[in-house]
Amino acid sequence: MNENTFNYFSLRARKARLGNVLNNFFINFLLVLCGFVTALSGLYFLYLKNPLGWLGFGAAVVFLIIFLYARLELKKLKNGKTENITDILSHNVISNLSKNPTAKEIAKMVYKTRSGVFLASRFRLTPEKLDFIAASLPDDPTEIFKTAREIRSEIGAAQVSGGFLALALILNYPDYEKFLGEMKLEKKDLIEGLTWYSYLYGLAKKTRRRDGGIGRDLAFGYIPELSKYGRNISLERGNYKTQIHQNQHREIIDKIIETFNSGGRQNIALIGPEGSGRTTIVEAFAEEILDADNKKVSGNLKYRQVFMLDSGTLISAAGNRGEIEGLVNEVLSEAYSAKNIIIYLDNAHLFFEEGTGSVDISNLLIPILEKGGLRIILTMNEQKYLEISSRKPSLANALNKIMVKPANEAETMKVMEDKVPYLEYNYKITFEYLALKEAYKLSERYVHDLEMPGKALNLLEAAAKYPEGRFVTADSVNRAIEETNGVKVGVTEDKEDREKLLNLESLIHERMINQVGAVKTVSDALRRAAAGVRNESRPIGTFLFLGPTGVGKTELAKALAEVYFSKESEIVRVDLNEYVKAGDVERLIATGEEDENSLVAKISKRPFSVVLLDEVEKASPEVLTTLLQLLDEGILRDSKNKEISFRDAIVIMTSNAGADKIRAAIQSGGELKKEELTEELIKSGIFKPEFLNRFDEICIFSPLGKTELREIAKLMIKSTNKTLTSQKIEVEVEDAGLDVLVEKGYDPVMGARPMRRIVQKTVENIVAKAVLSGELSSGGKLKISASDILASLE
Amino acid sequence: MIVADLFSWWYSGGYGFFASKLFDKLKSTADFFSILDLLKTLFAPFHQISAGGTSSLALDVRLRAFFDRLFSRFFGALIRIFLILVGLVALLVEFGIILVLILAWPFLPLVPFLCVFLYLNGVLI
Repeated sequence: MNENTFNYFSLRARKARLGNVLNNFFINFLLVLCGFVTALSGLYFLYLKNPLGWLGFGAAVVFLIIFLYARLELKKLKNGKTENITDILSHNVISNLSKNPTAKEIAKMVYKTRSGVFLASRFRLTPEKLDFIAASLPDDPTEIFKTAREIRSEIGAAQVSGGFLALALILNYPDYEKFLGEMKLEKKDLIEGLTWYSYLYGLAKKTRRRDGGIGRDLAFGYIPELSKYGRNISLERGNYKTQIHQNQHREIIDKIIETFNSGGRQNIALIGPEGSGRTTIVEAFAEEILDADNKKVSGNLKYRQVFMLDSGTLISAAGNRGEIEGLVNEVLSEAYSAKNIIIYLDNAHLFFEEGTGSVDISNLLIPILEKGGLRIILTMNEQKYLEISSRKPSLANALNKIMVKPANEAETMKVMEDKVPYLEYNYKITFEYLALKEAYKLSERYVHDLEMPGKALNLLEAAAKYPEGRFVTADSVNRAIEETNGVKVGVTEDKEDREKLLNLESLIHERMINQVGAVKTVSDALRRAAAGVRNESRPIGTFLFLGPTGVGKTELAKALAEVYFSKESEIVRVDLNEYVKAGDVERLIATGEEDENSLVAKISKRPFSVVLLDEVEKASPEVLTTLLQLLDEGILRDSKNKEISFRDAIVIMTSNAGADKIRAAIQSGGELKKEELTEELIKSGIFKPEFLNRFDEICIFSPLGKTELREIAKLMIKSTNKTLTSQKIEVEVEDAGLDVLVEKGYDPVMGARPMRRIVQKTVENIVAKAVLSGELSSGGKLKISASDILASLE
Repeated sequence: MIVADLFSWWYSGGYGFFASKLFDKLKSTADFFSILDLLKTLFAPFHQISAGGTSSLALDVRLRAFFDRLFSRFFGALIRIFLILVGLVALLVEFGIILVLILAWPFLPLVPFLCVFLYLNGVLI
């Protein structure tokens, strides 16, 4: 018989079916009841001197044997002796298969197994989807079993359960890549899903570890003060059953155990960024030393309790520095006397520096660390470690330093898979697998104050507050990041947004005249971004706007902020004419704490915005070199070397360089080609070619003629009317009046700028006077003629 | 076929599985009483009361501390000896039950036949 042919009449299949019957609650109960009744009646008959009692007694033993066989052997069938599919199918599968199983039957049966339901709920594999696939497959299940067997080998699982068959069904579907693609999935995701299931199933099967029993702590001291101010991590982790997936965590835990097993200085300093899993390592270490069967842990380390001390709690409990020192001294003395305590100082720098929430008690701690009488674990980030060790070299010398690096993608996924059951239990929800992937992707991109896996976990937990039904999906994660970071991450699906993007040019032209080429260029770039086809390792778009003053460069930036980011104020503006010296780079990349108005501080607060860098030609060459990385990779490194993302910003730099050439070309009736202008700018040394080449587009803004100026005047009057809407007042300027405005407001050098002043001086002043004199009241309309305008200019 | 499998399981895998389950239970009881740990720390001061160093203190204080510690050790030993005794009794009883069950297991399938035989021969107790 083919090894992928199911044998319905095999002993294993029969046993599975019998097990299903016997392990039914009612039958189980009936067996026990019959056993008791026959045993008792047997005893009764024997008491009555009736040999029939032996039969009752014998029957009771038969019931007992059947009960034991059902519970110990038939409930969870082990694999058979061969590698035939009948010998490796899981109990739930084999007991539910018919004599001649078909693809359709397998598709239905998947939902009767735990792993099938797991896969279905994590990957949104509805029964309809599997039925649809099964309908297109041949009835003979040989190929399905063959594929399931291959998946089992790939994962290294013992049996082929329902989830494996679900995946095998999908992989046998001729167009499975398209099918998975529509669900934004790949084959490896489903394989990972099954591995995840196997891991959780393994955890559930793990037996309770031996933890020392009632005599364990009798020889160790009482710790009333420490219990009051510290957190007993060992107690919290006492009965957890986690596995640490990060390879480096395993190595670090072994190093900690080794250090504490040896006779050297009994302290560990875990140095690594926030979110890299320092606390997880300490928790895992606390778990390991509670395990009586752990051979690596020596007798004098086994069953030690890890207590976390938090500077905030100690500071709030004590009034002043002296009292804090007294309190810490008392707590540490207690820990020392108890002889089974390991002190854990999270963010330990808070104990070595003065500030809000921190107190410098290094005079007390350093001797303890040097002496090594009390086991202490400290954690801090690298920057703080460097700062403190330069101030207190004796501290650095006293510490056994271990570096903790951020987790990579695979490790972060495993850590999330590990934590998901706890989140699901707390929030009463189910996480889809894609939510985990999205949490990694988005946190990597948008969260900069934490490292992996911490930032992905935080985002995943935040997403639990935005479930869809009772499921946390990729959209829940999108919503969470949008709400918490104020960014817009999803590919545009909202109909209104799509309309807006498709008509971007006309929307921009509602507030901007002319510059059709520039508007089209930026609109195209934004449509690419919204459709998800842009390069996500760069800003949404990078543009250099070249042209004379007052032709609409800034106006276009503002229009983009309003149309694309829904608010004109979503603009980060920096005048580069303030960055003309080499040393000004420092101001540009200063962190938020150093200068709240620096470029990186502003973009950190508004990652999803238009970044407008004016007068770029005036910036120093060093500043321009710094900006190269921004244009190229969408990041800048701040003064603390932390990456700041510009990948969700539209970066626009403006320059008047070459304005004369543009104007001259336009006035002579010709057209200035972009290539000519850039060549000219490079030749004259204003910009270097590597700088200009970094932009997605260079847009040339042409000077405004009188016709455009007339349209701009109309827009300005429209804007005045918009302001007056609340007072229900309307203003209209007659055609002749508009001619006067254009005549007076036209300046070929300054562009539209003088027009703003003229409209203010004439139209707005006339309206103001009319309102104050009572000539114009609510509901009224004011017509302004050419003579009115001329009079107001006198 | 199933009946044959039942008997084959009973005298092979089933017997081992049953025995290992019982011994796991015994191990868990032994872990609960942690008799070895109690023995190792038999004379350690109970909860480290008066266990601190006193070498730098005055003689009378050191003397008082010595007696305090002696009392703490004595009290600790009493508690531990009591726990050890309770633990030993519990383990012994459990071990006895397990032994009986393990010895009885191979004979259990024979009991129904024996009962039929006793019935047919009209044996009474």
